[in-house]
Amino acid sequence: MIDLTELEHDTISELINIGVGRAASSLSEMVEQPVELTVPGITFVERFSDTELAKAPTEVVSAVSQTFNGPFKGEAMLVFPEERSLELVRSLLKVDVPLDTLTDLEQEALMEVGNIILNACLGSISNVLGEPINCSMPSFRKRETRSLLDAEGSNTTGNSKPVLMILHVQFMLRHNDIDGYVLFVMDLNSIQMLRELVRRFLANSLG
Amino acid sequence: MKKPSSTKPEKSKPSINLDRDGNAAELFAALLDTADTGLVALAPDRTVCHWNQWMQSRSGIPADQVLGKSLHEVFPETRLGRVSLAIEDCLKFGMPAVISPSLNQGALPLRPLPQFAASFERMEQSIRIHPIKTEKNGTLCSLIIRDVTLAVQRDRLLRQQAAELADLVTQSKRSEGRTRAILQNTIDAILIASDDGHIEPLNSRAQELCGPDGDPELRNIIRFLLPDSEHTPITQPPANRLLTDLGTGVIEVLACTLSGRNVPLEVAISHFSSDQRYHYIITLRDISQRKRHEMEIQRTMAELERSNSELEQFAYAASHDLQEPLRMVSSYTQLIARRYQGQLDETADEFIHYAVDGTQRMQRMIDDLLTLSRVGRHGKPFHSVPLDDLFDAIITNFKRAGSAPEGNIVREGPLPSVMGDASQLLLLFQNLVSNGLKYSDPETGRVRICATETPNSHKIFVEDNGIGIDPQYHETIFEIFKRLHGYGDYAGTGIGLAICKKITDRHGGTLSVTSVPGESSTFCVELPKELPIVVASESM
Repeated sequence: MIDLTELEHDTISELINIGVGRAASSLSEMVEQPVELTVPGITFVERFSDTELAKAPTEVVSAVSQTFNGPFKGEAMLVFPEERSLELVRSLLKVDVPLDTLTDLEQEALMEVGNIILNACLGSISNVLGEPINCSMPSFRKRETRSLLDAEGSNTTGNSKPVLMILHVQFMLRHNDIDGYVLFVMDLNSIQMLRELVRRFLANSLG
Repeated sequence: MKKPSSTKPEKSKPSINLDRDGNAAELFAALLDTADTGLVALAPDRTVCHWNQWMQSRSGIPADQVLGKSLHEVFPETRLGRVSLAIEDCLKFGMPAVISPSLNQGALPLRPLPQFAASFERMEQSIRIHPIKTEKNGTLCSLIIRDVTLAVQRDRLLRQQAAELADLVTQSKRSEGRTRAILQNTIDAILIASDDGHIEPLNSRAQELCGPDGDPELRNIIRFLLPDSEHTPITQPPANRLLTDLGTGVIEVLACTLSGRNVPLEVAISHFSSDQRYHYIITLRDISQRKRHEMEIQRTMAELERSNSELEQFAYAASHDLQEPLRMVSSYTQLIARRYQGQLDETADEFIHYAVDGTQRMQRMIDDLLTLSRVGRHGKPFHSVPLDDLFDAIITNFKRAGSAPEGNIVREGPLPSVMGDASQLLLLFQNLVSNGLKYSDPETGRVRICATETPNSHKIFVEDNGIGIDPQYHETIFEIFKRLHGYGDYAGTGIGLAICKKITDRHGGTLSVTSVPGESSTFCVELPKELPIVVASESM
């Protein structure tokens, strides 16, 4: 298991929460309705099969993914069960005629939502830790949970076993709450680099 | 396209070496200008350093008015908001961004193509913001803008149609629900049969009759009742299950359910065609109640018929048997009158006269009574009777009897032909005419006959200018032995109108009277054009 001290864990939580808070205010402004985003928990797991998501392997999920590259690298993903993603987009867009699947335009809107949240999380980490991160454009994928992490030409995880940082995120909208996940998929080196950076940051600010 | 090679001296060169020719910048600028997307590059200080042809035409702002200015100077509304934040993140942290048309309607004030101008104020845009890292100038920011107005329009149309479809589905579901409720709550059992002989119960009532506890024979009976189809072999159902003769138009069958109930059913069959096939709708109505009533009526009718015929039998026998002793009394009193007239004293003559007169009256009454009882018992079959001919005969009879002056029986207009028993009709009208003459002045008395027609009947009026009848007696004059006047005033037995009444009854008609006392009486005989079933069957 990844051994993080409670302080390190809290620091990462804090960085994420700052980012997510910023994303929420951006979203609220855009959709002209209150949008709150919270991260009730962050967990680290070594196998995707250990995650909450993997419990329903055949459930179809919608995911917005951005790869990032810097001192630590990997792939960040906002993941919802497909139905939740439909709900989210429709309550953000105030759509009154729901169709069975996301239309192209809804898909792009979901991509933007993912982009805002992922950018905010990565930006917040990068900003506070003082290390620039390069991000790719977001891409959208829809597939069964069990094949969510299957490489798609990209080799962000390389050959080494991925480690996942899982954020449980909750959208609180006017009418309903929608639960989703943000996954940071990194290799062991990257996660150790992240921990190293966090330690350094803590040493600086506390020392 | 023309190849530029013809003017170039270096014919053998396969391609242009951009670096060596030094026109890379020119070529790239030209390429960017041919792109069908908006391309904007922003310097780290957020000033515009590229603005391609597409942007010029869609924003209406030429490049030279934009270059060197910051984006929010060109489009003041981008000072705050999503585009501004995304550009800031891009320039500061190198974060790329997607700006979708759904979450940011008309993010930049660009004109839609003319074909969308009617429904869109602004172009719908999908924007990508990319960091561009350069060695010399640090991080720049590119905006790539795509026109997605067409997609948005399609999306709207799709939603609109989906909404209409959803409405339609809701409506049709509602109407289907209503139809089902109507079907389920109908007291009749309704089934549908297709021409391949498949019969499907449509409501719960039908299910009861055709279901596992119902009548196993019922489907077979229904198949038998449907018009012939070559698809299904038909077996004749047991005779006791068909309650009516087929061909009478009314179909009644008996369902015997496994639960032990016998239900008489009236069957109605209608049809429609769909999918190029015939379908039959079979309606089964439980007529147990009606059947019970019909039985009741039949029983009462039989009872009535029996007592009626007993009565007639009695009247006939009585009058017939009374004739025998009466004839004896009558002939001997007449004999006494002839032999001893003037030989006894005056009082004796008077007594003898009374006795003779009394026996003669009694003879007439018994004759009339016999006639009356014969109306019901010895009727002839009905056929068409031309009333004009009938009245010719009546007038001839009166003339022969010399009982009326010439021309006192007047016919107005042609009279119709009616269905009936000619001899009884003759008796009827002769009685009425004779009555009319009897109660009128013998010199000026006049009987007028005319006819009118209603859709279902003929009315024949016999009007006199006699003494009239007080309205209080209009009902009772048709009763037997009913006389309004003393025997001395007007002759008659008091049976004539009773005979008339009985004849019209037998013909399914009515006899009524209207009168102005002292001026006239009008008897109206109304005879139906089509005979009621009871009368028709009786007259067979």
